[in-house]
Amino acid sequence: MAEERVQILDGNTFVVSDAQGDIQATASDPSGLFALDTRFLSRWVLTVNGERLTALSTDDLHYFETRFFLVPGSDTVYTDAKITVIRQRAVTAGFREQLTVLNHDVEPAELTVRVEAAADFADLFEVKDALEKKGTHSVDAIGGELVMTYARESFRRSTTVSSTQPAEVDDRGLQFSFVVGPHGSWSTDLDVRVATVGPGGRPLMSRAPADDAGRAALADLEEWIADAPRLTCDWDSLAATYRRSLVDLGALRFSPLIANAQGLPAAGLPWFMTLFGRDSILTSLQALPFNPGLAATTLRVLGDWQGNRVDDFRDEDPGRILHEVRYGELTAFQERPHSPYYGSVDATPLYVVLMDEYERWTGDADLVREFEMESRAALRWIDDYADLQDNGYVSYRTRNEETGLENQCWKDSWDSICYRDGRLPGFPRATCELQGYAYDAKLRGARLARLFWNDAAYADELERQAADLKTRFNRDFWVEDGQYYALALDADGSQVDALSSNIGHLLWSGIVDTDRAPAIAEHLLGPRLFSGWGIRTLAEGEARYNPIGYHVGTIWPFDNSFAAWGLRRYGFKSEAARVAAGILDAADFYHGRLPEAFGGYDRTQTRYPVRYPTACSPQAWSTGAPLLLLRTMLGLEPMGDHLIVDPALPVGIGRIELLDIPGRWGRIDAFGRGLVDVDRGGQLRPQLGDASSSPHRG
Amino acid sequence: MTDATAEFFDGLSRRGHEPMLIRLRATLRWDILHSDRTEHRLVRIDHGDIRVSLSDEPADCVITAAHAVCDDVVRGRTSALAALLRGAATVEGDPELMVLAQRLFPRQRAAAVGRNHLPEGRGPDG
Repeated sequence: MAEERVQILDGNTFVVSDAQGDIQATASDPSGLFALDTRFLSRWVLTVNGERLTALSTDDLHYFETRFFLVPGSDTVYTDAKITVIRQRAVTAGFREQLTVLNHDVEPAELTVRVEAAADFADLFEVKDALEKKGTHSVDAIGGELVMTYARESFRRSTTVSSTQPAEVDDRGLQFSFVVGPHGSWSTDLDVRVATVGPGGRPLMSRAPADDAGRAALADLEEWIADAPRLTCDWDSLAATYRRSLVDLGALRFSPLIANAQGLPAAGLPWFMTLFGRDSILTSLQALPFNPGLAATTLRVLGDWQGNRVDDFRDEDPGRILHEVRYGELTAFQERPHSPYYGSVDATPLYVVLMDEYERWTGDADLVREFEMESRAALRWIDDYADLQDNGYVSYRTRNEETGLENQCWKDSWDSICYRDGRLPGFPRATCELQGYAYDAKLRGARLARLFWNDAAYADELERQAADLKTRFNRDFWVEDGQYYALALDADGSQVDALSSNIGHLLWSGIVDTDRAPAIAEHLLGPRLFSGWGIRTLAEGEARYNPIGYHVGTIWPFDNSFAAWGLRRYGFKSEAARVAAGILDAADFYHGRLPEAFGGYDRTQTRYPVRYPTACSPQAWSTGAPLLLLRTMLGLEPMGDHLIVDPALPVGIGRIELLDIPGRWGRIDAFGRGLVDVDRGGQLRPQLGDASSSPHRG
Repeated sequence: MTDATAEFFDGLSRRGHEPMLIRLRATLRWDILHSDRTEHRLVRIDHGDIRVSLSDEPADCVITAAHAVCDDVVRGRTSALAALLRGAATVEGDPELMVLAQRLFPRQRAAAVGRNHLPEGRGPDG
């Protein structure tokens, strides 16, 4: 498999191939054509006269369409450069590939073009974990079509390959034999259709006609970008990052089963093109000033899927917001719990946070009233089902020990929640940011109850609960000898005392006592947490700190965007601007597409942000990070029917104009000029100015 | 029917109201497949008020499944989505209603414990 892979998609259908456009998957190799979390093509290899091809160039025409320019021969030696092959592939309900062969010679060329095709119908989880299939494969070459089918009991999936030119079809592919005249060309369209077949041969889920999908997706993307605010600024890199973010967020839109073709952000390409409660909510929050429609769809879909019963296998409770939905075979046969899986403990309070923030931006009171019962059920869940230790704190412990998630907060890797000395706490675990989210949800729920649900008594009760939670939290989580909040309380109610980025989320939620906020801001921008590019997930000096440890030292752009928002909330404009400058500067190294995470190495040590080895990209909440950072730098805050603009930009950024910001005010413009000197010791790159000595408060 | 499915529809009739569905006005029909016949249950939801009848008139959403599969879904031995993905049930019409219909199910602890308790029911084509 070549290093370069091309990824194109439409909804949750995507193709991962090499630079030639070929797919040669193995049990664990993640290439193929995927739809509904199932690999519908595991082999797709093109040869001309028995020879593989070499890519001259690959153009991504749109995120769903790619063109490969190829010549016969392998590696860098072109054995026959008199032939060019162009593969143009667009993802539809499957994909359509236009194959064109050009003969540049004065002589006619006699050619045999072959496309090898195979489908292993692996579930995404099987690809990740290299598991064996339990059903039966069959292949039929009938009526000029290649039909590959997989069956297990009533579970049926099929892939059909056909062509516009007549082909010799056998069990392993399609073959074309023809002569191309001097300077002539030959072309065929290959159509790969995927089907999920229900009882009676009916499709399980209906889809738009393949031919319309491409055009619709294109029109959609242009409209999507045109509908977003326009950014003009002096910093070219920021303009490029903004455009990249919009395009990627467009590509990451995903219309789940029940969204009536409305899009919400899926979590990431390629392995997370599905509905994730936490990721969809946080990305919708980041994108609110730019496209509030994502939040509306997220609230509707997650509200519809809200948990209804106590189900240990799915970690489901009444009122709980889902964690993840999957459509593959393992989910269908309940070998994995994702139908849906509810093992997230933050999505539920964050649902109420998003509901309130959405209304504050859009004034869409109808949605708040329509989903009153869901919002109330979410608030009830916090008290009735999330207080596992009966100590008034939200905590988690999976009830599905075999296939459930151990860590149900955003830092979900095995060693993410640790003490200073590296020990791991038992369960339940009450991580600190969960208490912040619960506090924020109660206060925001109170506002909704008072203004829209006509229930002042409930609002008062929620506010009392929130005030009590804040008092207790500031007593029980405060690490006196470190002057910060503990990462978590363990099963005994003792502090898990590591210093982590989670304290940034606490500022965002407002649970931090005002007199303690300066100490938190100082930690976030201090040498143990701040690398110069951003805030590390775990502070340098903690036993498990590792600059390339997934949640124990890397820097997550999304995490930083919420910390910056939190810093602004408590008035630390200069500190927020420094975080924004670091992350946005890092984005430039990735051509505007921030990865999920990058290394926590000190900026002076590496001079560039080192990518985390297996980071998924584009990832929705990384894509949303520059958007939230823009909001933070411009100090955008809805206030009644107005939008407050209170910019605090890093000096080097110069001027920013964000035009036509949508909201309850209609459309409004925001302007800002760089005033906050964020540089220290000449670390920042020239675009951000290089002339400073020490930072000042904006 | 002297089974979970029958008890479910009987209980639904008696319950008469589901507050988690007050935003909904819709009709749902279950076509329950037995070896020799198909039973129909039409559920009208009007802002949370529920009426159940034995009718095969058109509905906004029609769920078709074998009787054993219906039992498993009602008991919580399988989720409706898993049954759908398995090809053990089909949904015609508005799929959002299939999701919301789960709020009609009893809220007690579900029996689903994953692959050790796979439903024995087969799809209507099997």
